[in-house]
Amino acid sequence: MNVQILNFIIYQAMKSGTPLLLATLGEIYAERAGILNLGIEGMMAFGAVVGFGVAYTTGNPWLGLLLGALAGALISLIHAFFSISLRVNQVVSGLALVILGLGIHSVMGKPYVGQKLSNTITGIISPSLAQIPVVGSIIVQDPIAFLGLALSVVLWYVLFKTKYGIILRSVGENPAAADALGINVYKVRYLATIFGGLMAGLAGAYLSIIFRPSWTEGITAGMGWIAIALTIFSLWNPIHALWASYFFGAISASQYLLQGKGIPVDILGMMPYIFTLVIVVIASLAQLKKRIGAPEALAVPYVRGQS
Amino acid sequence: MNTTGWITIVVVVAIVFGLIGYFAAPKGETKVITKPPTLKAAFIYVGDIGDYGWTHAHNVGRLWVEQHFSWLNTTYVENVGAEDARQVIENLISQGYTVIFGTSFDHMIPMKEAAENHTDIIFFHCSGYIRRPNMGTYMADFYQLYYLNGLMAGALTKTNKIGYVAAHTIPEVVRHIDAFALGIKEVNPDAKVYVRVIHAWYDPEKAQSAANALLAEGADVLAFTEDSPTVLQTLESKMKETGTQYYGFSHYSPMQDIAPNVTVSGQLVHWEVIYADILSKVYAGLYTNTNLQDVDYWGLLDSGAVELGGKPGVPINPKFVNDLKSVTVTDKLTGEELSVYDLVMRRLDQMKDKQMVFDPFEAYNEPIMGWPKDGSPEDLQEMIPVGHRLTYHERLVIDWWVDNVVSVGE
Amino acid sequence: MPDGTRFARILPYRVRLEPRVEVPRTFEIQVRILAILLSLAIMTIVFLSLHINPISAFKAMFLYAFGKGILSTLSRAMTLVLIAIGLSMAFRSLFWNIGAEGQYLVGAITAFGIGRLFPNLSGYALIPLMLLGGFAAGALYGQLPAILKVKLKVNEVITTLMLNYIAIRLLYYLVYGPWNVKEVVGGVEYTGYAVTNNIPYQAQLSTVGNSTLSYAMMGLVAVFLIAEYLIMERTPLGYDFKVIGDNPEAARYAGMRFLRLTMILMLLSGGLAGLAGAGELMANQHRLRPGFASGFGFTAIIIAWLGGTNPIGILLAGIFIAGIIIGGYNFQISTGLPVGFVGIFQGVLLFSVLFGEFLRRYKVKFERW
Repeated sequence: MNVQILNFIIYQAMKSGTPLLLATLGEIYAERAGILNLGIEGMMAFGAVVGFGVAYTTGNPWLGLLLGALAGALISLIHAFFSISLRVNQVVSGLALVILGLGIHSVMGKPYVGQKLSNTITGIISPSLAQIPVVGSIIVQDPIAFLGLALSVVLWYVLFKTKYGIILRSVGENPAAADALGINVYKVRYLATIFGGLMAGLAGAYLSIIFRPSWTEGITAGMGWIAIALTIFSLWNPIHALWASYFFGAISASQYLLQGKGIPVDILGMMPYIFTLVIVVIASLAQLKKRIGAPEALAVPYVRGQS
Repeated sequence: MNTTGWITIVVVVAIVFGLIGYFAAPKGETKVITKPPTLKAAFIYVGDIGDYGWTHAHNVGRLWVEQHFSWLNTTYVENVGAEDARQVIENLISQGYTVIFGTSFDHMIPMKEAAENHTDIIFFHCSGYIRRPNMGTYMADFYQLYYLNGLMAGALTKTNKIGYVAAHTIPEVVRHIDAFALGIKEVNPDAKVYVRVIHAWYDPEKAQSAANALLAEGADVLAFTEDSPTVLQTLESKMKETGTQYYGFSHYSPMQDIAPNVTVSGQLVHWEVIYADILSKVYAGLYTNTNLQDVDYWGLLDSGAVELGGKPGVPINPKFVNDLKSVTVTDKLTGEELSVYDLVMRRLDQMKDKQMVFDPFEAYNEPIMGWPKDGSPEDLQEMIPVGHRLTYHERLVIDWWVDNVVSVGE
Repeated sequence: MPDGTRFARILPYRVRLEPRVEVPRTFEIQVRILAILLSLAIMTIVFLSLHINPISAFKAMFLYAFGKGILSTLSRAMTLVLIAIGLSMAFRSLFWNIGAEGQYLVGAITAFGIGRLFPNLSGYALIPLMLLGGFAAGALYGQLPAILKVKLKVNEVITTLMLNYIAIRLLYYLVYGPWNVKEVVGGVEYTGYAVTNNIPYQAQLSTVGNSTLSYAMMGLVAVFLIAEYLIMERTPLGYDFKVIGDNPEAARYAGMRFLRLTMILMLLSGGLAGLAGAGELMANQHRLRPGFASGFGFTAIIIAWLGGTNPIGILLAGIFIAGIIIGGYNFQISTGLPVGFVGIFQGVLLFSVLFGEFLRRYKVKFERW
């Protein structure tokens, strides 16, 4: 394998993987607290249009990223209210959020169609460094890609090594017990869902501001669904999410290297999904004894005094 | 509070808002039509008008005719797939629309069925091949532009590897890739074309991956068929990151301003030219519900339905004009030496001319060799013998690759 | 510590939710009406703030969907309801089958394949064969997630979701590859286009007038709605499904045969989605194309949940959701607003219905702290 090809795979793994990673990290936290939010696609779309609109109007891409993330958080509040306070079915609420978010994004995006951002965010620009094998393709990545990398470590640490992580996990595993210990289950779940929305919004804004800084409708193109799969794929672990997202990005990208060699395009196109399935099965085989599964109370509304 | 109370509140709120809405809605919104338009035309779109690709371009065309023809009233419906096309058409007919445009290949079968059920309505279908006495077809085709783009690509490439990101390898795209490859071959017989297929009309992530994969394999010029500027923006950012000059060609909508440092030229469409022609002929009574069996628009350069460039009025990005002027080639028709820039302009004029003295799909001095789509690049055959120009139907079902297309995702 | 979050203390009242033990039928209906009115109130605000006349917007949506466009609404409802019947049983047993889309596709693909294989068979044989093939394919496609879930504890959301994408790619492969269109029109053979040939003419289901509502689909929906009722309410199998859903751990200890039950469950759920795919192909679209994957499997999730395992509930929910979709197109035509508004409208409507569900299940009480 020559250097260009290797660099391409690493480069594209991070490029395609970063939006997936950001959304997955958020969903991991929400699901760890027991809230299943299938609405990632809608939250991302909303974050993307708000982020682009802000970056386009103010000329400040960082402000766009920030407000895009906040927009995701805002719209996730709907899901939080319905699934935590009103205790409705989380699957349906999530699907409704997808429809709503995509609708708003389409209406709000109309004035920006075909516009591009004058300022975007790039990584270190150094053509000589970019040629270095492996390292070169990492160095040129944008700051948000590194943020995603750092966040997965930080979020892993918080989740497994701090008091807050224990609280979050206990709320998702056994909310009644957590409540008995004086933890405010509702508050934790609200915060986790909003954090999930924040990250999905950031992922969306990343797509419209950095990944492809011009506006066309439907820029999320189904990434929100992949993030849901990656959440499970990573066994609700932020570090696993890191390599799972990059792995998915790398597999999706490398199918184009194998085209023109006699294998049908669509068989190659199935690869990322088949790989995901196979790895999930292998992981389950390995984990069966240790019982690492979904948070016990995932998608189960918490009602005080019950169960 | 009991349920009756809740219901009362909501009912009251709804009624109050309803009344406010009824009276407060801006009066301009209620369409006051002084002189009733005599023609109602509806446009069915397969995607969102915000795609900045196919559907967006059709809507630009619709808005143009709506604005310029006072006797015309138009509407549109977005996001109509084949599963919904029939009921949407029934609905439009029931609302008095008498001319219906279906802008996607997916609408062909539902439109055909509707045309057979409603023989008094005029249908026009874009990009298909089925016609009825009350259903014509139309298309604006880019093959000439891709050929011109190919001339530029062949002259500009330094690696002699040229990439193409294709949505699907349907005949339209095959035709475009072949025309592109023929243009490349005319100025640079050593350059090879690599095609990567993403099987999506719109998917920025896939388009970016495919574009970067082609660059990694050594391509430095890319053309594409996909409904977004992703490929050009990928080139633009790669150029910044690596310091290498890349070249690309804009597709469908004006994209030169989105990626000004890599966009050499491109293909632009003017659906309004075709829509204006069809609608004025319907209005004038030239097109009726009985004489459309052979009406088939094929918008090329001579009609003004398509235009060369990445930006209206700019056939070649000025940034690359000097590069193109510095490469000299021989005109295969006349044998005279000239720059690629001059060759592009000469061919452009030749193809704009109704006489059509030149066509990319004619074999002039030597046969055009190619290999079948379901075969391999080794199976070279004579696809166009010397002196033959592909017929219209041969172009419509073209299913082979020119010999310098060496790698295609199947 | 009283119920409610700590920051709620700034309010003079606290909110208490009391589960309703018995819900009278009239109240259920009241709540649904309330939910729809609520969504209309919200949309009125949205429309007014955008200077759109709300009355004409609502008229465009509902009067058409349940008036002139009722046949289109019913046609769409039949396909969706068929998928939803199977999904509702799966959801009742807490099997989160997100893969109806893929099961629907393999159903359509198989039905098409059978039609392609036996183009000369009489319609009386071909139609049942294609429908059965669709059912069988969907049922089989649903088995992998079932087995993986029970045997290896692999989460069914990820397996069914991944199998959706694989089915879509299979469809693309067939449409562009071996099953690509080859038809002669005006003396010229057309091939390479993004579509297949028609299914044999005798396999195309007859429909009501010019609509796409087929008699066969109505019959199938009726049969399976009744079947669902009988299975869930009158057989031990239905009882077992409910036990799994209500208390999976207890079911496990009671020695229930999980694998067998889950496989039967997905046989029904996947099978009905596959049947719906075959039916949609034979009644409405007649050809496969890449866009055949149009999200019906996801829409049906909403219907399955709204309707529960109550046959009447599923039917009404299906007609309602189909009405929103069909009405959405008319809304576009009449108001000239972009399709995004339809999404917003549908989203608001769904959340309102969810709010109604909440009111149906809980009594809201305001009490002083």
